Amino acid sequence: MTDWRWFYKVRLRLRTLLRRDQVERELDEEFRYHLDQRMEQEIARGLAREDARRVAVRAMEGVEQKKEECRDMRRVNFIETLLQDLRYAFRGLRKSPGFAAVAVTTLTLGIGASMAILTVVNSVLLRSLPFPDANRLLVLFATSPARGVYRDSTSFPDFLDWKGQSQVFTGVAAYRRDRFNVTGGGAPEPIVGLRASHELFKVLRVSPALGRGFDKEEQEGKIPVAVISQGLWMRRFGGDPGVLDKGILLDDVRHSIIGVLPQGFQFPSFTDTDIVVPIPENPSRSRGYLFAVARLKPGERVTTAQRELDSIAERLEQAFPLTNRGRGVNAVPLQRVVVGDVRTPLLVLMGAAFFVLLIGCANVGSLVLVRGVARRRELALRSALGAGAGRLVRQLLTESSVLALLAALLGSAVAFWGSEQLVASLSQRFALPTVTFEWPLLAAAVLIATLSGVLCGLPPALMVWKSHLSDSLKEGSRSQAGGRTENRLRSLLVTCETAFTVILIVGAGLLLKSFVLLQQTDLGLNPRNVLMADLLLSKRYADSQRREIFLREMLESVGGLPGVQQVAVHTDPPFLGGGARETFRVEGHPDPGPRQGHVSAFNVVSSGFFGAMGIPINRGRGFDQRDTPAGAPVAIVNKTMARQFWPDADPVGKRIRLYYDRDPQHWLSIVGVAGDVRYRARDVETIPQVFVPYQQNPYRFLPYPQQPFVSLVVRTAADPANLITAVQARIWAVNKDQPISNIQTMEHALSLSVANRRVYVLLLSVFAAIALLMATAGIYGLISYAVARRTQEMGIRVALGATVGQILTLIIRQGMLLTLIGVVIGIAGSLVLTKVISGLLYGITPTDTPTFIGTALLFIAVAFFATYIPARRAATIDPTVALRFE
Amino acid sequence: MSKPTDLVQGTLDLLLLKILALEPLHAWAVSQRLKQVSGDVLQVSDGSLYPALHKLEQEGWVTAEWKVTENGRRAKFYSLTRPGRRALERESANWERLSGAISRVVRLSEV
Repeated sequence: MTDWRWFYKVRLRLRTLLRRDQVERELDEEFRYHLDQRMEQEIARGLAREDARRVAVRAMEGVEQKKEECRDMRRVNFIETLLQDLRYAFRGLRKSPGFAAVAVTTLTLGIGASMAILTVVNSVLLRSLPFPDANRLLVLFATSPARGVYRDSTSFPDFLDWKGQSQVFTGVAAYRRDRFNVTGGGAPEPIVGLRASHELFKVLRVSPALGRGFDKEEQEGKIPVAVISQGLWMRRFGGDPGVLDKGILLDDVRHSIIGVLPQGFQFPSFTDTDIVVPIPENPSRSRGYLFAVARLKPGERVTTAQRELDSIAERLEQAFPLTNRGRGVNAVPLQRVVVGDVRTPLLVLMGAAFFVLLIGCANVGSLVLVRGVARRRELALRSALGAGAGRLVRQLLTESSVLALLAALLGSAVAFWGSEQLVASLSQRFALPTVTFEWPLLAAAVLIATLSGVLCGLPPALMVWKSHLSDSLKEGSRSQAGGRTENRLRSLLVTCETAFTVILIVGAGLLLKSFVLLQQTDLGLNPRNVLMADLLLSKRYADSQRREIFLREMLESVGGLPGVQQVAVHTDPPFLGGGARETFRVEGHPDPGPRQGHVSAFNVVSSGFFGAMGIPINRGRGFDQRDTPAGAPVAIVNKTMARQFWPDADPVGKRIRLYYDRDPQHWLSIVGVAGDVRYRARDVETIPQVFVPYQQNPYRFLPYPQQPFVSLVVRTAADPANLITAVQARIWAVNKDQPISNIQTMEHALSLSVANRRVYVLLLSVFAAIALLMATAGIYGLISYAVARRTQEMGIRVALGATVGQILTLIIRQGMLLTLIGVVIGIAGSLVLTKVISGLLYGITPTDTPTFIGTALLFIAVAFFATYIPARRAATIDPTVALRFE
Repeated sequence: MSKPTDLVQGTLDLLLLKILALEPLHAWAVSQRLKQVSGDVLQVSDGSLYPALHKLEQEGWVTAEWKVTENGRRAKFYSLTRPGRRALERESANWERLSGAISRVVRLSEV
């Protein structure tokens, strides 16, 4: 059955839109015809002409209203109406520029803030990684649940088993990030890249832009091969297409270049990946040195993969109890791995920004209400002329939406600038993708704006809906009359603003307090006047004697600089996250096995280390010239470790053994106890730490032959930043090919380690300040307005003998009552919401009482002043002026 | 209790469709016919007729054209469309069923 209705419908809609005048004329004519006929009928019954007209019109029950109802039936009305409303809106705004400016500014702040955060969230959390079907990529970590370790590296044999026994993946590849020295043909260059198994390219579905990736034979082969990045290709080979025949010196070993990576290749995160070389295959199951990346088959889920990996891990536990007991696998989506650290803070900031937007909306809504009162009579008139309530509501909503859209336009500019700043500040620590402004975001801006427009326009519109407008037409022009509904609504809005603001201030306050506490934590070392630099040593220094000579020469040379007090090298630079870990057993305690052994931080240090770092030796001695390769193997432990393992005894003289030490009889005697150091970052608790002397050949602990890495520490007499070039020159004087990276003062590294926290604190404080400002303005506006409306009443009260104090009390009580209700709601809301940021807090709980009380007091104090000023004005008014006030 | 002349919700559409099914009419004539046929029991105010007719038109159930009336003036004549005729059949059947059911219930209570 064909339905022809659409045919009639479309024709009518088009006609209404395109031939509007004619349609309107016809409507008039139809009604006129009716009225004329009715009049004739009544005249025929004997009525006078005028009476007949009156009867005819009354019988219609409102000619204009009925016409309007007919127009509403046309359905396309909204387009016409919209244009009309837009015209009204712009005219209205032009007439009250002050209102428009305040409203637009308020909304701009709200929309701009939410947009900026949304832009960053979009770029960082939502946009998929630059690999085909990137949402199917998982990173597989080893776990030791008993020790609370969930993102551990795994061994090569375990990787092969994960890969071989799983069915849910199309491919699994092993990788490990590493540093390399590029030398030969130009300045030495430290780069970061990947060691990976040959499956990597297939799993990521990335094919080299030039040449090819390596295969299984090349991975196991004797001839080193490398795939280089576009950047490295440009920098060192000038983009020469003949690069494939050439070689590149990586850590003094010639690698044949077999391919060039596509532009912008970065793995696993948004950081430089300048080279990919085959990963060495260490046959030991106890040597964890790699991670795996896997691609799920289409249709398979992460949970399925996790279950399968769990059963594989279980089989491995049974087959290799010595190395695999207590070991599991953790499959985490790659996206999660990459953005994990910034996820919660960004979401919190987004919530805060939306709060600011809501507060802005409440403020503007309240402003619109005030205007609405002035326009009551205008609206009543419109209603009398045939505008239905729905039509009036729509007009009010259009008006506020126009405000909001203007604000969105300005807000987008704010957002664009703001998001760049935000990413720039976050990127100091984490390499984030650059933020680009995209069309969907513009759409989001328009959506947010429209929503806020509706939110702002809703209160006055609701009022129109509810109130009997005809009453206001009859109502005298005296300003005291009416307005109760508005006052209630505005009070409600101000209370909401207050509640939201209190929540924001509590959140900001908690973060701020955490930050202050963090700055006050005792690091356990002295970061002032220390210079640090990272040196990846050339391969020829894998030979311990040559290395010994180079390091001694370098330490002497740098130590000889004027202004240098102490120099040392070590292997674990502080405040960088991560860090080296070793497992050990304690003599006299039962042997837990290498995979279950106690874990400690591990640092190989030269004798000047403790002095240069400013770490105190609390017991025993530091390292000195006795601790040579020939001397007795020794170690120093930190206080935490001493307390944990020898709570009642002197640890000096006790012995421990590192599991990775090839020699099972190689027990280290503890010769000293060092002070605890917040080594990873200010907010990371100290864990047990083992120091061993540099001269006692630490490199047997490495998973495979690798370049020795050292970090240089220089304690200076004055500002260490001034010595950077001099230190570099001294190092190059010893070896001109030695690359130097991350040369910086320790204070700088330290501030970087809390850079993100600083950004969150700053932003949340800014949001809270804006919110406080808006809420204060809201309270002030409400009270001033209420006072202005009651000017006459105040005049009468004063004339009848009310004192200034009584009037003040009267008005302030009104303001403070609202404030208190809002504060109570806000505190209650905070108790619930601050749990979300508990992970970002340091040293305090999310329900920190002083912060809550402080916030309440701060807000009450500010609100008091916001009510006091208008109250004061009312109380000091001259009654003769007040009584005449209209 | 509601006033006896109140129209059951939605029945105005049915009445209008039925009246227009007999012959094309302009709105004034429709209002006269409605009074005449129902013997003043069904009172539809002059004004309410128009939104109702315009709705039917927009729904595509009736279509309108301007013609000259017997007294020589132009008026908007509404006539039923094919979908309108089907809608009328559907609505009439519904109405029969409903009113039949209601009558039965009413009679039942009188026994």
